Amino acid sequence: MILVQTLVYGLALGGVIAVSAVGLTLAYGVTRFINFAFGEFLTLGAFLCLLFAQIGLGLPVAGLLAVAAVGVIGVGVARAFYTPLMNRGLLPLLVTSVGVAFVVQNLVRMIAGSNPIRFPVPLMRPIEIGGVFVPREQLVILGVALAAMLAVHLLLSFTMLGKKMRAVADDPALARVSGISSRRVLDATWFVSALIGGLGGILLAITQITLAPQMGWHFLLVVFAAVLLGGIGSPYGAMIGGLLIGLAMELGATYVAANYSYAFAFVVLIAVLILRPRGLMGGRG
Amino acid sequence: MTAFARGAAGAAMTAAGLLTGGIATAQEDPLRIGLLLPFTGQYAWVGENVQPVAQMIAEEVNGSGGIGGREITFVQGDTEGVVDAGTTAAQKLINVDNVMALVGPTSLSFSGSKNLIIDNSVPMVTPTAGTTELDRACQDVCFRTVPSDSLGGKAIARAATDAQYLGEGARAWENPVLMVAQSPAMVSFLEPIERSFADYGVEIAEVIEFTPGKPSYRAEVQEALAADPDGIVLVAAPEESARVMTNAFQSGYEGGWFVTQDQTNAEYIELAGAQLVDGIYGLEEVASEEGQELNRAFEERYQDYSGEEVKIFGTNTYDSMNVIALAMLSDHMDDGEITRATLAEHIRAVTDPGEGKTQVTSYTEGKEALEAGESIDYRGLVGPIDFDDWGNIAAPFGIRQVQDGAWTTVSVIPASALN
Repeated sequence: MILVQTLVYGLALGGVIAVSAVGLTLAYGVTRFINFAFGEFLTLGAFLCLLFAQIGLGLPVAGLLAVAAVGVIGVGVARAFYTPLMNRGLLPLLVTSVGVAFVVQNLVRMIAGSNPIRFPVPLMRPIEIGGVFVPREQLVILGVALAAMLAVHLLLSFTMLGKKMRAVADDPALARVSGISSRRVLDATWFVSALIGGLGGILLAITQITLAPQMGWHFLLVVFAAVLLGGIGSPYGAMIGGLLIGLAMELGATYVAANYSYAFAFVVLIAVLILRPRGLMGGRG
Repeated sequence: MTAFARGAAGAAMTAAGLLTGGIATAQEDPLRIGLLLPFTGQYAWVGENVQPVAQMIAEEVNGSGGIGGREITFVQGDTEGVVDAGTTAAQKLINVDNVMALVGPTSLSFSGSKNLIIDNSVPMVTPTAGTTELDRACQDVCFRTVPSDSLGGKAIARAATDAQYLGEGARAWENPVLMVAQSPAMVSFLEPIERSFADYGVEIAEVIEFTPGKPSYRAEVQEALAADPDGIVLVAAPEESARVMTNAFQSGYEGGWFVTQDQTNAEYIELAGAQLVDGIYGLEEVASEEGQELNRAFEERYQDYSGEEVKIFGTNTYDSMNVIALAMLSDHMDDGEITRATLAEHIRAVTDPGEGKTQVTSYTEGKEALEAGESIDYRGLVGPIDFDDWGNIAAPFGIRQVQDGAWTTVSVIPASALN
């Protein structure tokens, strides 16, 4: 019974990680650099959703508005800070993204304050199924996460934008020769990546109940683990990686030691990378 | 007002405090007191609660001509609620700003500033550090106007195992679980609570230590609920406490909760939600019976001064500042000088009980008595402020319960019941 209970918890946490990891890996696939400010998209998603909810909007509407806003912010951040450095090598981009992360984090702190704030998700008793307690909000998280991953799959497989994104990711020069505007594809990629990050942040807020300005930054570590586990640059790999990391964290916490749940994420990551250095779905090295 | 607006207002107040607190008044050779407290970060509220009360007493002192003509000014040392920053802040206050005494530190940063305080013989009278690390830390310069967590832990165990302290119709706990966050300020409670429950004849079914900062605590809650507890004592920062309690609620837990002073305030009800915390017990320091009238007068005075209600550590700060100011005055009247080395002796001189001493309850009263050539015994808001050899005090505790969305005191455990 405890195993089933733990699997339920692990899948819900994995869903949050998976959604966030898809957003991060999508941007990497096209731009080839790891955006260390991605965690702040999560933070912004959660705080903007809270803000919209506080002005009287229902949580679903507030969430939709928040993720759209984070998408727009993502494009703005990329145009202002990343695009001008695209041809200057990886290091300036990485350092800049760390700087952007701290700036955004402190802006949130300045506006919202340092104290934790409750996310306005209603308190609900769990559903009991055969002695297993299934928290209702975890069902919501899992449902939204699966829907988001399906949407990303549809975007990449069946839309012109998705095809262009994959073309630019595979060979930017060839894509340009073929008439694909890499600028537009980049903008679209940043929008989708940040939007998904914002959604991940809202799901994280539902999970952890309280919001703090550094919440996304702290969560980024496990998101990275999921991205690497799945194969960096592979959205499908990130989905599987996220779910596996979530399960590993909850199983390890329940059966070995609750204090080391983050460590279990990395134990799984290291074990898989030793066997498959390019990750489960063979991402870009 | 929304949480955002309140947060923004709080940030503005902190910024204003930083600006005003860091600037000494245009007075020659002021008596500098260091506020070694968190003013930023998760525990910024501690500095925000303490500083206005300290400032109010300083204005009382300065308004009456200062001490030997010297005004009291404050220098902020922001510990950020962490050890490293606390060490840096203490270093600056002690060696650069040459403060005469310290108000602070908190339990969070005491370990990092302890050696600096002892090595430089800087008297500290902390209104906030309940840590058991201070129980036997130093005999000469460490004082506190907040009871030790050893006593707090004992009070929790006493109340949880004795129905008379839990309010009407409540039952004593028989199978409690203890959950403690692994941070210095929280772990300080672990041993006293565990030992005290055993002393009162109840074994704790499970002790669970957990890492702060995790997004959820479902595994830890699962472990706790496996022991089928009738009550859980939760020692953690408000953020983690809200998560643990929510996860337990979502896992079907319907038993009792006991939390510490960090959560026994209106802010925690807002953070966790009134539905979640309904019926939980909390601990708070309360005024002794003799001090209740004094407390009411202090509350009114502070309300007039700041326009706000007294917050957590407010009464402790009132006592800390009065003790420091009276000791400075006593030191000055002794030989015309005030030094770190002699100030600690005078802290004992103005607080130790003794025959023939005049009992005073404020700086102004104490000043009048000292100027009349009398010896004084300061009696504070939190109790008689009779420091033991290690600078600790005994104080009564209030047991509070959330009823209809607000904390209500259901009983008081006198200091004598915790000996």
